[in-house]
Amino acid sequence: MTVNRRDFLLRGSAAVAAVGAGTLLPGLPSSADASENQNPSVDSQSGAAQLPEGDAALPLVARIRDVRTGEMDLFFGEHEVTYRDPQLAARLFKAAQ
Amino acid sequence: MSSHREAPEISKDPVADSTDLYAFVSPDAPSTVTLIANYLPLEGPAGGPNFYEFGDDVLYEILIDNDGDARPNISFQFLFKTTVRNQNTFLYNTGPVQSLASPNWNRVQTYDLQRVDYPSGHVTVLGTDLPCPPCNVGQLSTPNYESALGAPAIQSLGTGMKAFAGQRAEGFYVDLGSIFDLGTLRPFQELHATFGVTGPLSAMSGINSTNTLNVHSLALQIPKDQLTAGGINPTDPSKQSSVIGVWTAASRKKVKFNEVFLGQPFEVGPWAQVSRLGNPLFNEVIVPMASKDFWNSSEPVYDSQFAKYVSNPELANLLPILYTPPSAAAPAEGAFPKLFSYNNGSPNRVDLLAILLTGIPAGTLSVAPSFQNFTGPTQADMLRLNMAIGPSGTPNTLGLLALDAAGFPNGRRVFDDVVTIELRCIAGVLAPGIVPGFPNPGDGAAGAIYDLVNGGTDTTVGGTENYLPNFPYLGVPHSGYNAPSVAS
Repeated sequence: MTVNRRDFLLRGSAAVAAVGAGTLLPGLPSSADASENQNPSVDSQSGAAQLPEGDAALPLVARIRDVRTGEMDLFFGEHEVTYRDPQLAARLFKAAQ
Repeated sequence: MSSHREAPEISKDPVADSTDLYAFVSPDAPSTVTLIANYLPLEGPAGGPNFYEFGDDVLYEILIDNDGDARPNISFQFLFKTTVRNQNTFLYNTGPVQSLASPNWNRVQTYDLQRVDYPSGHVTVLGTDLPCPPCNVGQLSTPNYESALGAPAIQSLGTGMKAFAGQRAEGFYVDLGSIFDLGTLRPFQELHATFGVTGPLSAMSGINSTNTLNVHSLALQIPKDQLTAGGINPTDPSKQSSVIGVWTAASRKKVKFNEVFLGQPFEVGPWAQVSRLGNPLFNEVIVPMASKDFWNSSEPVYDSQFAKYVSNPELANLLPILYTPPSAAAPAEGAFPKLFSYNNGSPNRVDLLAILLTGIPAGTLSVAPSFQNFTGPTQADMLRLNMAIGPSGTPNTLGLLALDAAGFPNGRRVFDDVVTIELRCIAGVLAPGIVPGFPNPGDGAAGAIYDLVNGGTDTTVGGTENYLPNFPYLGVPHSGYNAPSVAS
């Protein structure tokens, strides 16, 4: 069921382009813990350096719908975007195991 | 009940669970319409020390369709914020709370209110940090509740609006304990089939299951011309432009982690609807249990997918079976033999489709041919109010069934007996002459059954009389000290 009307409820207009610093997967530690424990590198697509400092501190959640196609939903702030990156999805899936 | 705990998932999330929706021309301010959406079902007034409050993590909306397409043209949105003033006590209040500014009130809730117009998405901020009253704890904690706390929480906004958000006495009444016991209606239970579990039951008066309970209300009083398309003042009851469709919805963020992040539960993502309510009892008794949570997440514009449950409702099929069912040897006997006969054909209850999904077109009701609250052919569960019909000087809780066109199903007033009205409609009281093939006249029982209140002006049953003459109309909340009554 569509919930397009909800798009109007979104406050702010910043779009999230890709997985960035602070990526969380369900079942993994918080972003701060992940950074310390798993030594992640900043993805070249993340654009994290361009985010305002306050936004960069906010968590981002990725839900991988299909690891084979790399389709994932990204939740950031009050936004949800669909993103496809099979290689990234595979790396995240591996990291989560 | 109307919509209390009506679906499996939302029953576990009371702060987002809409219970009742009201929309009516304000009796004391007839140039305005009052909209009330209730949440938090079945509040026991003594439920401390963490007394009831709205969810800070819930987006509450009252939505208006004013052009008949079942999509919102206006959304009034409420977002709440709770502050704990004293971090070092478990108490809700550390002394008498005698004003909204009292330092003795430890857990304070405020809200922001905004109007969003569609399709532009234009946002108008109507108020920020508006105060909610505390819950009615008792005579020592919240003395002179209404004058000191309830009434001061009514906010007059600059647009001619009034707003209130906080605890109120439950206004909806129903004999819940009997109805959910296999459809028993105590006043008529001598006719109940009883499934052979007992012998014949004896008729008795109904019992109000919501008496002395509270709810949390979102209430708005709005000039009519702020609700219509183009800002017209609705004065002609025959015009479709005088009719609005109303519903309420509650939404939560899509993602929530049950761990503390930066001192708060971690939530992220867009709002996702988890509850909605238009007509009373729609999701409760029309939609099958397996679809109720889906219905809560969907929007009125897509409600044609649920029309099959309206055109052949399960309850209409149950009534003739539960109440002295006709037998093969005596098919004309029983309480609802004509409904039984109709159900055995190819039922298509166009009367219910009109009442619940499109509004009633003019010329439909032979007893009130000029009445209409039709919003167009789009099927959608919305509470439809013809705003050009003024308030009744002699209101009848049976509303339109008693030819009081200011009441349900033309909108809904706080005192309307919606359970009886819907029971009678489902039993077919309006069907003859409207529904092709429905026996005319129909069953006499269809116009007689009720669960609790016998007649449209009866206010003798506890909990059916506790209303205010002015905004926000729902009564002073029952206090924790007094309810349940010490005398009971």
